Amino acid sequence: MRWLLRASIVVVLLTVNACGGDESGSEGSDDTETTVDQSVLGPTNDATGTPIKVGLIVDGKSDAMDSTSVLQSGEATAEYVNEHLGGINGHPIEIEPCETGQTPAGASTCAVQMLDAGVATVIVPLSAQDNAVVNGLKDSGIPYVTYLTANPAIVTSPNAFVLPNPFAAIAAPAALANERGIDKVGLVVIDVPATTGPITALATPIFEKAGVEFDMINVSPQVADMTPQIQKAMSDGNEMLLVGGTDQFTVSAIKAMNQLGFEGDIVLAGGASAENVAEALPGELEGVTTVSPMTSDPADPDVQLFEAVLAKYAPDIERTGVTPNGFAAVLGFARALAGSTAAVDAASITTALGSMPQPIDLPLGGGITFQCGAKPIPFAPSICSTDVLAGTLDADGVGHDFEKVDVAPYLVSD
Amino acid sequence: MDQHLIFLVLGLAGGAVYAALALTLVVTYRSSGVVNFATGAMSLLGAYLYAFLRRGELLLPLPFLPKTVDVGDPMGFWPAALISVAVCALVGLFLYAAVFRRLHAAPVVAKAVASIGLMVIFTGLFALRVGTTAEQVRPILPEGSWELGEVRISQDRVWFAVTVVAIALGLTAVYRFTRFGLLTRAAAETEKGAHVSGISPDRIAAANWMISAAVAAVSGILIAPIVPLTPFGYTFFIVPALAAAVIGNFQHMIVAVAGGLAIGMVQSELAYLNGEVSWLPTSGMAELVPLLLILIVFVARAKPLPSRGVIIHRTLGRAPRPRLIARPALIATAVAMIALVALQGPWRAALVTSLIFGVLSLSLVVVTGYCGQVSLAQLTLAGVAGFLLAPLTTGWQLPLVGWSIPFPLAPIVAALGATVVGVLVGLPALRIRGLPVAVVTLAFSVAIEALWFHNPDLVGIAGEEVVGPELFGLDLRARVGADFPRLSFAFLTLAVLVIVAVAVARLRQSRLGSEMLAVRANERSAAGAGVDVVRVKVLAFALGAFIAGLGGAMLAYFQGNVTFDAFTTVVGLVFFATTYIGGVTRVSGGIAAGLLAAGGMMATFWSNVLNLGEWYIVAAGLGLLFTVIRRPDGAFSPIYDWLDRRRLVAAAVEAPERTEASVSKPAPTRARARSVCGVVALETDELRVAYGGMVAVDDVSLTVPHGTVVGLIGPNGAGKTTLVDALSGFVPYSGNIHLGGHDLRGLKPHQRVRAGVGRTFQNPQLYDDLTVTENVMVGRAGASGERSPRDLGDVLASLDLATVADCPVGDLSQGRRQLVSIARALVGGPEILLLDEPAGGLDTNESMWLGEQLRHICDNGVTIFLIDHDMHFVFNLCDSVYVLDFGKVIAHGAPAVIQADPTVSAAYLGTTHAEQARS
Repeated sequence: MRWLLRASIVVVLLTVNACGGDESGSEGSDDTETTVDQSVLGPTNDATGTPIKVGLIVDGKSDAMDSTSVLQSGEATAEYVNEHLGGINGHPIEIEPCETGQTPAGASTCAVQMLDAGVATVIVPLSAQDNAVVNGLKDSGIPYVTYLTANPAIVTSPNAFVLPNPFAAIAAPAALANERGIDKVGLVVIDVPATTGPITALATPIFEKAGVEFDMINVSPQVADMTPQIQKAMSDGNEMLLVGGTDQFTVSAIKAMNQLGFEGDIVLAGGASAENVAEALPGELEGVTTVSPMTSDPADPDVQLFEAVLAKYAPDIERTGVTPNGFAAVLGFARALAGSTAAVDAASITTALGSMPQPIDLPLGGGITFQCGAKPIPFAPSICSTDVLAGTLDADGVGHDFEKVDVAPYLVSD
Repeated sequence: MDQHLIFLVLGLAGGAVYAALALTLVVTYRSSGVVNFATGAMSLLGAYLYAFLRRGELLLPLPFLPKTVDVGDPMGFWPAALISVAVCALVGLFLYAAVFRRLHAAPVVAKAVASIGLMVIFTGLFALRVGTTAEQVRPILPEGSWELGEVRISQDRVWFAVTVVAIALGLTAVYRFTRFGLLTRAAAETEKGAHVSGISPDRIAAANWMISAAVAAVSGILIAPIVPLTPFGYTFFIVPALAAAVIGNFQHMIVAVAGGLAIGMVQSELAYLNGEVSWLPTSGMAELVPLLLILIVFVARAKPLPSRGVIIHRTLGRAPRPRLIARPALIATAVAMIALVALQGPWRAALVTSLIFGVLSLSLVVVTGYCGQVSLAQLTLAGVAGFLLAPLTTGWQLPLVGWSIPFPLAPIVAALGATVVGVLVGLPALRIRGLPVAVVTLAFSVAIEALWFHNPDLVGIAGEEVVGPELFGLDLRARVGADFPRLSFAFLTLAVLVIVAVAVARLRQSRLGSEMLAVRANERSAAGAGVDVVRVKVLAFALGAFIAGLGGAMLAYFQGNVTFDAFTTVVGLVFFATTYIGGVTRVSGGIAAGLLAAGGMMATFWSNVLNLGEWYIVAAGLGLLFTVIRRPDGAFSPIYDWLDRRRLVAAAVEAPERTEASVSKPAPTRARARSVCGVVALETDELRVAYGGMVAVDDVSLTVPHGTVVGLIGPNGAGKTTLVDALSGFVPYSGNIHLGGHDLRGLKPHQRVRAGVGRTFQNPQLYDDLTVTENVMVGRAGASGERSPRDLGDVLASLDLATVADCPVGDLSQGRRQLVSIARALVGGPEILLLDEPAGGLDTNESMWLGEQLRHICDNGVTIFLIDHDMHFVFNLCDSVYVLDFGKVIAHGAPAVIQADPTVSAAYLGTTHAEQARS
């Protein structure tokens, strides 16, 4: 029943981890062990206080996708925080896990479970069913921390904290087009509400500010061959095409672009894993721009930390493109509360998260910072950050040369 | 070059995907009579096998086995393709042996339901075993491209379309010109005939299943380079493929392929028009194309699918009349109340979900279980109500009204909205029947989802807010703060379920319920008994949609927010599966189905206790197959059987005296109202029926005097039944038919019944689930105006049926069944009774006895016109006899005259029979 729903998850217009170059290395475990530097974990610093119960909700394994590893990486990160960072100001994190099974009913059930368990925070790294989770938690006063959503109910909720900027994926192409002197951008997106909804709402003001024209090209998941839609986008004079959709969608779109001889810029900003796409289209991703709030640069300290945490606490994890989301969400939560000693329950954590004193590094953000409560995007006050990274993919779908793109100017409402 | 033309060419590849699947659908239907919803999944299996073999691995998408087995070096195209096709053919054979062979004599709808189960199983297995990462396959066909003006056309896509057309031509030739093709067509035509000619239909069917699975694999391999392989990928394409198959009437491969190509091309053209034409909706155009095509074809053609020559002896499941309502309702309510209070948190939420899905399942009980219309759109209709409810409770989308509608009204208004849509969805069912209804409702469901539920112009991405119910200051909201689900809401849900369940049970007891079952059993015979089929179907869809709407509103209240993903077509298919497992023909089955629904008690147990959540879908698919094959009455039928046995034992204690009493009651004899001289009951004038170029009834003028029994004989194919069909309005004709001086022109079958023309059918066409009394009651629909229905007891007694009045008709002998059908016609108080082979299947004693009964009926003032092959019966009973040959009357007169007529014996009876008849 869920294969249709999955469209909505995978598709939320953000890059989950378009740059998964590090993952291919993890297939041989020996390889990983030899290259991972455990010293980046730092000295042991056990949390000894009263535990803080934190809910961790993922979609789990369904026939649409498998996000079990998100839960595992989140749990591993919590262990790391408890053993090396002294927990949350001395209080260890106690994870209350739940899988939605990617159905609204399952998500509501998870919410009920969280209420039952009396958690102090709910962390949802990503979920196609976050709407049902948030509804289930409504009026409970429990803060909701997420790494990935464009859901208007969440980005405007005073109890929610969205660490990276989910709208950057729409704004980045406008910014890039502006920078590269491109006049018209085609947004080739899968026709499901989670994708078309935010674009319909945001694209017009964003592109207007950038002084760039755009075409919206919604493609139904029921269309077998995407050639006509891509040809239409090309005939209409779009010089840059953004692709937002599932792996399958992205493969079809890029293949059609290459077959039809599209010579403009291609930007990948969907939930697709660039690595999977590259595997399906050998060599064809080279030079494609990827937009993501995450870096995969092996030299990045957070990337090294991520590798070390997984190697120590979840050595058998089967990684997918979304695995880092669990790490980033849990670590982001811990970093945001560092120093706020009063934060111990739902109410105090909400207060602490809502008034972070200064910007700090977004996990895996490659230099992007976040500061919840600062409301950098006025119409979506729950969003804690503005910038996004743009990198260039190589033939294997691995991103290089990540640079920050400043999209804030395009996301200011007049 | 013209842009329109370019986009039509670009649409070829997409169209060829639908065409390939449509071709598979047609091959499967032609050879096995199954509309195989799992076609896409079968193609996907072929494609996956092929993709892995190209990498040197053999895929094993089964639990407990390694995912792949290494088979050496990566294979070339031909070995990989041949092995995949061969493996798929074996899977086809297995499916035939394990599933479809057992469903051999099941209705076409049951087979389609089984294929839905297969689709669910396949997709679930792929997801769990292969994973959700897209597999990409290298192109098979030449890759280059052609330049058309400024546009590049990739060659492989054009070649793909050409290949599909070539395969269709090849298969058409095979089925037309080879001995195997001939045998297949013969076996499809008539199974008995095949047996008599020494062919094993079993072997033919097995071979055809292998062929259709192989064709599916070939389609999959061809599609693979165009569409990346994902577990759910091809399931999307089943709707356009079904539309294409419908265009080919599930018979003509070339037409179906052309239809598939056309759909792709139209979708491509729409992609071009999107943006060029401002008033087109931004979402859902692609999904609208197949729906519109299906509607146009069905409504314009309005022919049922060509059926197969198999005697169908199994129904969709028994739908017995509930004997008691109050007691089980009270017990169940009490149990549910205790459970709601006792359960906490997730388990209470699961039970509330089950109660709501119970309501939704009951909507399917009405539409499918009672009325026999397979609706795959019930959950979509629930969604319609949910999306309507949101603005009704918040009021913000009603600028003209500006206020919200209070609780008990809001869900009712929303459900009425769903009713309107439901009737629209059901309207095509007025012109078509059987499986096409399922196809139409599926297409509707997909289109409504895309045009409305998905449409960002209509629905916010966070869904639509719903404000919880409140009544007389009583807070009935599902959630207040962290309190969820609240008991007051849970009790409200229970109350809704109880009310709906009791109403649906009462419906089954009502006359409308009997009429629905009559329609379900056989629309023709229902119309022949005076049931207004159109009205009954519209009411069934309306009631079903209203109930679904109530369920949808409760679901919206429960979730506090409406989003598309609770109401998708695919969730709807699984919902259909769980309802079918629970038992689609009874109220208790619908309620049980709620427990099985996604998010319900069973699903929660499955994932929370057994920790097998990911296997739930596969289990649901297997459960559906098991139910269809072994328990057409629902998975819980052993419980019902046990209850029935207990009842029978209890009944046996009182039975003897009752039987005695009714047997001793003499058949009423009334004054013999022999022919009122000169008054004509029925008269035809140059009646003519032609099918295409063939004239079946050729200018027949006959007269049936009032109060007589007139017989019609003639060799097979003489046009006897066609003549009776014309008299009762089932076939169009020219010429005139007068009943007691009134012209019957333009009257539909049920209107003719009401005018006084009762009829029976060659095959009694009874409703096996209904008791004798209920079957006969259906016929009372035929009484109207000044003609009052006859007394039921009199009619039953006069045909010696009183003793079996409460037995289901399915348990009666052939002779008794014939009597029941006569009683059904009689109870409407007809002027004239048209009997089609009333003595068919009866032995000599029985037919003599039947003759006496008919004579009694005639003596009581009902004129009889009958067809029969039993010469003794006809000549002994009738006052006069017409002889029909090649559609013309060749003789007419008293039985003695006809018996003596040498032309009749020579032309028709043959010497031997003539001797017999005279002796």
